[in-house]
Amino acid sequence: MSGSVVVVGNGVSGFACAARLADQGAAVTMIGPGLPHDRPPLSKRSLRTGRLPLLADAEQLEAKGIEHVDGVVTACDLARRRLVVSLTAGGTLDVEAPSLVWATGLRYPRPPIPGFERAEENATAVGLASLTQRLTVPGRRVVVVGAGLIGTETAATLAHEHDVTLVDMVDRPLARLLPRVSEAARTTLDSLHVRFLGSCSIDSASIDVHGAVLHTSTHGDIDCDVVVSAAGFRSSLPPELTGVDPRALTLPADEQLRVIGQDHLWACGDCVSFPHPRWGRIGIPHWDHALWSGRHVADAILGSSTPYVREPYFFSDIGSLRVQQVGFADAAVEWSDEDGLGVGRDEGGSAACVLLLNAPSRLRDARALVAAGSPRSPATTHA
Amino acid sequence: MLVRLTVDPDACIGSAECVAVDPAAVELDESGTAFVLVSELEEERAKEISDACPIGAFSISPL
Repeated sequence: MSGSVVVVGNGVSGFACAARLADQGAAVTMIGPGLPHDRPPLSKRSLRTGRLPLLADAEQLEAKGIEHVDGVVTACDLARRRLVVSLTAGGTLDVEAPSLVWATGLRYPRPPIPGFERAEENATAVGLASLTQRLTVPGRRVVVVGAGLIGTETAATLAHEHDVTLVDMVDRPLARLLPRVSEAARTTLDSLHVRFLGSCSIDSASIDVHGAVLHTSTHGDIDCDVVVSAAGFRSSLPPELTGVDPRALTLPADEQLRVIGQDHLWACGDCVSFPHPRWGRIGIPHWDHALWSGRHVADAILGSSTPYVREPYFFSDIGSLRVQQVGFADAAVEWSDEDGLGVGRDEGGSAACVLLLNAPSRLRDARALVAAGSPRSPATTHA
Repeated sequence: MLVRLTVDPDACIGSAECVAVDPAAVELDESGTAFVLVSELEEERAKEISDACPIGAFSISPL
């Protein structure tokens, strides 16, 4: 089998890249297990309905001219430009890849807690199907382990029909985000009657089809019906690509998103880092970047020399709380409330990051502020 | 010319790009899904909203 461009990965970024290439008339093969789909935790509807958020069905793929190989890449020979694919239907397939795009995102493995391997998860299509099957009857006692974005969104969504507890090793939900986001999330979780157990240390778990017990050294035994794992993420990159650092989350790329040192390999989505003109080399593990970087790679392969410049942007719905963040929070040294926007300014006083809480109509203002890197306004209120 | 603007709620991923373009015409509901406040509007305005959607969840049709 041969094709001029091979895209490995069938999530938002991989599909965006494949679709753009196909729309421009390029021959494209997309490799990934099952039909292309959005990441399940990003869709509350998926969690409620159990339906996978498909990006295209088989008919639509055929109509677009995208050849889909249903399977996963198990070996990658960059020098010979060949891949080996383990097919979902069984057997293997050799694929010639004169031009290759890597878009496999991140992995969300269960934490290495004894007994935890039987916990449910909703980061994959298989996990979503299994979890929703366990939650067909309302009023289940659900424990979500991991209070990052995925776990917190999941807990808030499930709380509409179930009795939900959210646990984490740290003392607040969304601890990797700004304190004000954590506080707002905590208030929202309280209003949804989600119990949050912070600083919780799980030693082991006993999980079967009838129920589960989490054995903790901090909160005793926690009985429940269903345990959902939403803790942590890992690299999805194979050793042939990561080289000396097998834990690398991203492939370093140039401004066209071509992987450095590999003239026929591009990367997009969660598994690429690129040189941002203001923030230096960054990766952006969020939906918006997945889409636009996927499209950008397609354009680059088709000859565009435009550099990839996209401000980090993420959005999250936690119950009725809408969180949006534009820019690079790590560069902000001082935060203030300015005209209803949470503005983080860098050491030079320019807007580095803007936070919106329940203010989606201000997204354009937030982008403009970060883009301008505007100077500090004379009257600000310290947050 | 006036046209009808509709959004497919199953397709919407809640990026809020449409609301950023025209908050008087489009809003997000409590689940973060876009809904149209003003369904009949000028074609140019409808097109701007539709074009802002990253996944093409809007449709424009004649009245």
